[in-house]
Amino acid sequence: MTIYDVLVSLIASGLVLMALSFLYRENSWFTFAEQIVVGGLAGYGTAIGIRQVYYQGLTPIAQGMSWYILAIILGVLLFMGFFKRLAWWVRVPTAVLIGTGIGLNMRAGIETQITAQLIDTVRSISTPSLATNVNNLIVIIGVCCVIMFFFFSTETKGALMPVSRVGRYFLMVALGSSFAYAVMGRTSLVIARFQDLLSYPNYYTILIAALLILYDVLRHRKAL
Amino acid sequence: MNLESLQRIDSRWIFLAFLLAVAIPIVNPIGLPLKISDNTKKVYEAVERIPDGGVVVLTPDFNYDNKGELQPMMEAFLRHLFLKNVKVVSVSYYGAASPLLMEEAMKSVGLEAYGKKYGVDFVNLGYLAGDETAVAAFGANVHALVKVDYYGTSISQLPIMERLRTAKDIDLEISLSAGMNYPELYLRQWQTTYGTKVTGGSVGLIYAPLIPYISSGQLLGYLPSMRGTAEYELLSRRPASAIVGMDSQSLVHLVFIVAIVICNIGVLGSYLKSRRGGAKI
Repeated sequence: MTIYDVLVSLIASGLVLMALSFLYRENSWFTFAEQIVVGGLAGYGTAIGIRQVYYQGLTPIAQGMSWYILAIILGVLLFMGFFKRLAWWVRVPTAVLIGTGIGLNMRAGIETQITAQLIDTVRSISTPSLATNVNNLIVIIGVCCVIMFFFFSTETKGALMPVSRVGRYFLMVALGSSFAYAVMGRTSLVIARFQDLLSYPNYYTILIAALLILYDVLRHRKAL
Repeated sequence: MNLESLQRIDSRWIFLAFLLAVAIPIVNPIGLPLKISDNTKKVYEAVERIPDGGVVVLTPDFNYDNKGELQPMMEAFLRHLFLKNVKVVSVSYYGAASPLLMEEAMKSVGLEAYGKKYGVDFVNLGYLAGDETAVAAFGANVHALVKVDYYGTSISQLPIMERLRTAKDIDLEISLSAGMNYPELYLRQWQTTYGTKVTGGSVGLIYAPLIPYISSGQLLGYLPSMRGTAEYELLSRRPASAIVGMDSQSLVHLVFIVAIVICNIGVLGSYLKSRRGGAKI
């Protein structure tokens, strides 16, 4: 490990601890780390944007593909929103963006997200495996009941009520599963940070952070 | 004991328990057992089935905020791919920082260690703006959209790019995604349109809504966050950071379950107290 690597590592772990210090209480170290993230990302994003315009827009024009000027003009028109009198020009590139986006999405979206999913709902409940049959039946009942839950053309009462209620229970299970996956994912992020923090030379920064928090706790006790 | 008081535990105690559950297994690994799921096996087999000399497009659609979840996954995929005779093209449509993350992954994995060469076996095309438009354009004609790689080298000078003209040339797309719409986007623009096989992995937050695509066979398996990566590392016999992290993951989940139970006992305490007092909640 070179001195440069050690320095970069210490700065990174220092910033992580500054961000984590929010768990103790809001403080200026946390704000400092927060501002660095916002500033750094804004700067990097701008640089990447300029690079994109250069390589994807200006370079092809220089190579003779003059129709790329149209794309550049549409891009420039997006900035007209900053000028009150010219703001309506923004509608032109926005219309192109929305039109292209919807067109591309619809081209394969129906097959990908509706047809293929509907086909997967048609499942056999007479396979040799009992477990598969039960699973397939649950999928069929679940899909039908949840679709019924979102059926708004008639009032949900009578025979529709229990179907809609079962649909709601299926939705709750799905949301619970989503939430559990989210918890697992967020925990993974913390674990990865701690794997970094607990490695050499980063653990020295933990010691410094712990001493700072201890000092703050003692200072507050004295003040009381 | 006043059960109601369980609802007023200082949240910092929970943070402390959480941090200890994370840190202790990192310092002193426990080695809790890990079962490999059928889903992970599907992903592994999809990579194994890439034909000799085939082209893989790896799309790291995430930024530094999701590095902890997806960087080990990207490295696990790269280690597996570099053991095979395949061409790996990296390109991102989300997350302007992903080319930097790919650079970091390459440093960690090491091209030379596998006898691979930049431009011949691997290329980093960087980030392409335009989301669905860019993915569709890439699928239709790669060379019309991409002129240079991430380092500014013309793609006409990179032998690997001769193999990749349209999405039809892609033998496997590996999507590493931090956003729900990205796997769907590859399914729409490449899988449905050109028949490209799609697999990969995502952050935990967006994983559950993607399960129907695995069930329908549109996604050839998909790895969920650190757990998926750990299983993949185990299956490919190349243990790395994700397996080490799984002990912490299990302990933290235990802390969460205990915290949920304690808080609910507190709520029950309030309910019983209100019943005794005759008031309704």
